[in-house]
Amino acid sequence: MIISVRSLSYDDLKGALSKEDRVVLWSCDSCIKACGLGGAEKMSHLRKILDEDGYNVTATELISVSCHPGLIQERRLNEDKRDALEDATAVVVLACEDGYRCVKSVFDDKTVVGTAETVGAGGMTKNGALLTTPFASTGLQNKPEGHTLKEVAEKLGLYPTFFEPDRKPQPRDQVEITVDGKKCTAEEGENLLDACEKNGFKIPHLCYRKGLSAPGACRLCLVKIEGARGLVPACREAVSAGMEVITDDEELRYLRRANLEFLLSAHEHNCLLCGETRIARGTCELQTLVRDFGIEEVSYPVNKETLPIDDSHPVIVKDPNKCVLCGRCVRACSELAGKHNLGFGQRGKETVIAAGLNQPWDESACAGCLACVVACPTGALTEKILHFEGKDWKPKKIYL
Amino acid sequence: MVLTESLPYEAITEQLSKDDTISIVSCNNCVRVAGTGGEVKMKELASRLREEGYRVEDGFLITKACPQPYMGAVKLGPRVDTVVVLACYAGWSNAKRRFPGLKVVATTEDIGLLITDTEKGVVKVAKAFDKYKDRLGKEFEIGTGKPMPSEQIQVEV
Repeated sequence: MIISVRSLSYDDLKGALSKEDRVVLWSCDSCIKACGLGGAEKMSHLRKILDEDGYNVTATELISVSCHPGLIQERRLNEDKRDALEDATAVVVLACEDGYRCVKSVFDDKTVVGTAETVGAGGMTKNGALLTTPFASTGLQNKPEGHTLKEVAEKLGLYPTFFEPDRKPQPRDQVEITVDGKKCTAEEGENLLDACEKNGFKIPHLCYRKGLSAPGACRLCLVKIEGARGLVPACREAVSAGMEVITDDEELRYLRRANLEFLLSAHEHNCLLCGETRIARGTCELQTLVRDFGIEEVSYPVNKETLPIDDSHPVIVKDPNKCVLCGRCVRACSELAGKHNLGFGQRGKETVIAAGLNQPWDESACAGCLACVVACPTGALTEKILHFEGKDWKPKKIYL
Repeated sequence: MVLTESLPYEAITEQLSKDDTISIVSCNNCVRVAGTGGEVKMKELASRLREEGYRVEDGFLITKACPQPYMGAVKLGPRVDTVVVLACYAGWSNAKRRFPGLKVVATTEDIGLLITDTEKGVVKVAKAFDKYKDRLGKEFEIGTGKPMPSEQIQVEV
């Protein structure tokens, strides 16, 4: 993992921009996030404080990895993003120096502002990132126990935290809504599912993931909204003043359970017995929902056909038998990696997630960034973690 | 990503004894890209060590060796007293912290930090560690570490 420390003060950052600039915030979602200097949340914080200070932030772009110029070029040419990116006059990069150089090479017609100094390589512990292999310029030595980022920043006269960590931006456009009879506040235009969850109402969902677009495909987050025709997927609805929402009643529970059972009937998911370590860690969202709903058997005929597992890729294993076709991997590949390497192949009940032209994963244009694996809510896409033993060095899969 | 170079085989075996019970742990990220680790390299090393009489008990392939949670997936058998790590110094350090009482053997040396182009199958050294300053800007083939004859990645470093 590449270790970086913030090199710019907030005043320096503002000094590098003009209030006439149309600013794009660009963040890598990998090492820099682990260093506390990037990722969706940090980008959102920076956007809010720059907005408050009168700067014109026109877009935020999160990318799975920034040290890959091909991915940056594809993002710039993406038809959904192109106009906003072309219109920008300045790009603020939350990435390591490698990522900064790659972004600068692609946006060479704009002001590109780097925010981090890369100090070497290191690892991640539960207490945060550690620098184990510093560059000589830091004056530090290789150390298996690692140097904390605070220690490194202090030594180099840099900044140990993200921009303005103590500043709380004023909430904007707060409106009152009623959820299950309780008065709540939310931001006008905010995603309804997010707003309900922030107010403590849990709405089951599979296809929605914060940071990705919402297709409303799984139908598990259906809610009732006063005045709306029929049931509405909460992930597709924006908050408006005075909205009255019902997130939980007998009818919604019945419909959600039926939808969940339909999803389970597409393959033999076997959630009660699947991967004991997953249950302990609660990483399979489908399995968690099955437990929450207390589903012990499926009421509909289950498709027992077993599809072949694709383990051709060096890092990713695809098990289509555990896929619910939520499309999160497809959107992660398109929206986070910018690769468009994944899509839906075939039609009807034959539909599968296809890499490239529905070819073995390793033969497709996959960049191996793992955005799809992180997004997958089931065990359909997992990392290849293997234990080899015995004379024949036979591999056995380990689940994290 | 971190570019590494394999230590000579003899430099690895010098750190081992035939009485050791060995587990091999390989990162499946940067070292695979650099051609110094990954599933294939781990199997090659295990076979060679076994042929020469070393007691290699098992092996673990983990997505990344530097973050603590991945190293947590490595559950060593009770007889294992030596861990051979196919990873960069950061991965080796993580193993060293995870298995404090055991001998943890490094197999690579860090060269620098990388820019990647998976379409072209090339990596470029964007920042080099002091000892390897001559590699700055050099490009290598993904998976083998062979030098590229001409510049493929148009990024100034």
